Amino acid sequence: MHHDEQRRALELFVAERGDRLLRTAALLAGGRADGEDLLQSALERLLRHWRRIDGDPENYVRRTLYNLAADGWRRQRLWQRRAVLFEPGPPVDPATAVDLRDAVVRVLVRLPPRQRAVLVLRYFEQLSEAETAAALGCSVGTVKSTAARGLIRLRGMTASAENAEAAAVKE
Amino acid sequence: MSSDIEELAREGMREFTATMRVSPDLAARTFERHRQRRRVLRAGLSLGAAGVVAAAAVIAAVAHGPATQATPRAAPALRARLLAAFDTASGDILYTPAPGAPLHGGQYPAFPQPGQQVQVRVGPAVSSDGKVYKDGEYTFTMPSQSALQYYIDHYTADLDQGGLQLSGTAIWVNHFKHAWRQCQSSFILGFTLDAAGIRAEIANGQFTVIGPAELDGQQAIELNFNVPSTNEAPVHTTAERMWVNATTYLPMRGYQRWSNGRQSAFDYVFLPPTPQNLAKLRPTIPPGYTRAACA
Repeated sequence: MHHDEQRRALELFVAERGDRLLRTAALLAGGRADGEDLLQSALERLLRHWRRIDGDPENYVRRTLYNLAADGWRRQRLWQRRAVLFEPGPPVDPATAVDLRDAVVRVLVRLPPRQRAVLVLRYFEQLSEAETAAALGCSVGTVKSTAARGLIRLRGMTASAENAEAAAVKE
Repeated sequence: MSSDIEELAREGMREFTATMRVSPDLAARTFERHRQRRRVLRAGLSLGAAGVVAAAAVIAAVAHGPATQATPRAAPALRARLLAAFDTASGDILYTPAPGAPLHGGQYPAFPQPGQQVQVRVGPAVSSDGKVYKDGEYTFTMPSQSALQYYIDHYTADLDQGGLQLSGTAIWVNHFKHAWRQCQSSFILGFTLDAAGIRAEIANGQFTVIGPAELDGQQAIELNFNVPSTNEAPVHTTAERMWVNATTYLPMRGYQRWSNGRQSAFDYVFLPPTPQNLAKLRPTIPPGYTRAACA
C-alpha cells in the first residue's frame, strides 16, 4: 500500500471505528488519555502489519489492544504502585445509583489487567465466554474463573454501598 | 454469579465511555509517528542507544529535581543506616499530599505499623462551584507483620494479586442531603510506601541508594527506582526518583517521567501529630445532620 493510500485508509478506519475502539481502550487502560495512547500504539502496529492481515483489521486492532493492555499493565503496575501510599476503596456515596456505577468503574480500572480485560470483553463488548477466550488466547475455564474473581472483587468493593442504598430505599 | 453486579458493571462501563470520542488528529499523529519510526529504522540508527541518551538528558533536565552531588553508589554503611531507619520510622505523623500529587484521597498517617489502627480521610470532595458535597473516612487495622510481608512477597512475585482486601468502618457524609452513615465496609490496600515496603525494595535491589543530596536546603538521600530498560506498554515510566530526609528518613519528594513525555514531581508534607492535625483525619459532621442506617 502506498503511503498516501495507507494514510487515507487509516483516516477512514479511525473515522468509522475510532470512537468504539477508544471506549474499549479507555476501559482497558483506565482512562481516556491512556486509552487513546493505547489505541495509538495498536494503530501503529496495524500500519506496520496491514498488508499481512487477513480479514477485518478491527479484529487485529482489538486483539492488539487486549494484548498490549494485559502485557503493559502487568509490567507498569510494578512502577505505578510506588506512587501509592494508601489506596483505599473509592469514596462512595451510597445514596445514589450514579455514584455506585461510578464506583464500579473506579474499582474496575484498578483490577489486575487480565481480570479487567475479561470483564471488559464479557460485559462491555458482550462477547461470549468462548469468544472472550479466543480473543485473549486462553481457555474458557480461565475466562470463567477470572470473570468470577473480578466480579467478586467488584462486589466486595461495592457491597456496603449497595446495602446502604437498599437501606435508604427502605427508609 | 449474581446478575446485579454484572448489570452494574455493564451500565457503569457504558456510562463511563458514553461521551468518548477520539481526538480529531489521532490518525494523523499515528501516521506521522509510524513514518518517523520507519525513517529512523531506515537510517540504521540504534534506537536503544538513542533511548539511553534521551533518558540521561531527561534526568539531567528535571525541572523539579534537586541539584545533587550524589555519587552513583552509596557506601554500604549508608545503605545499612537507611535500612535500619526504615525499620524504626513509625508513628502517627500526618501526611498531607501536595496539590497535583498522583495520590488518591485525602490525608493519611505515615508509616502505619502492623496492628495499628489507621484512619484514612477520603475527601472532602469539592464540586466545580467550590461547594463541599461529600466527605468520608475509612478506619481499619493494618494487617499483621506476617500478613503484610506475605502480601509484599506475593505482590512482587505475582502482579496479578491486585491488592490486599481489608475490612473496617467507613463513614460517609452527604452534604447535599445533610445526612451521614457509618457502616462496615471493605477496602483494597495498595502497596504501601512504608518501612516494610521500602525496605523490601532496597533489599531486593529495585531501589538503588544513589547517595546524599541537597533538597531545598535540607540534607536528603536520593533513591533511584530501577525502571526496566524495555517496556512495550503504551505509556510507561521511564525514570523515577525519590528523595528522603537524611535525618528522619521520611520521603520528601517523588519524581516520575513517562514515555509520553509527561512528568510529575510531588512533595511529601508531614505535620506533627497534634490534636489539631489528627482532627484533620476526620470528616466533619455538622450539627443537625441525620444519621442514616446501614443495611
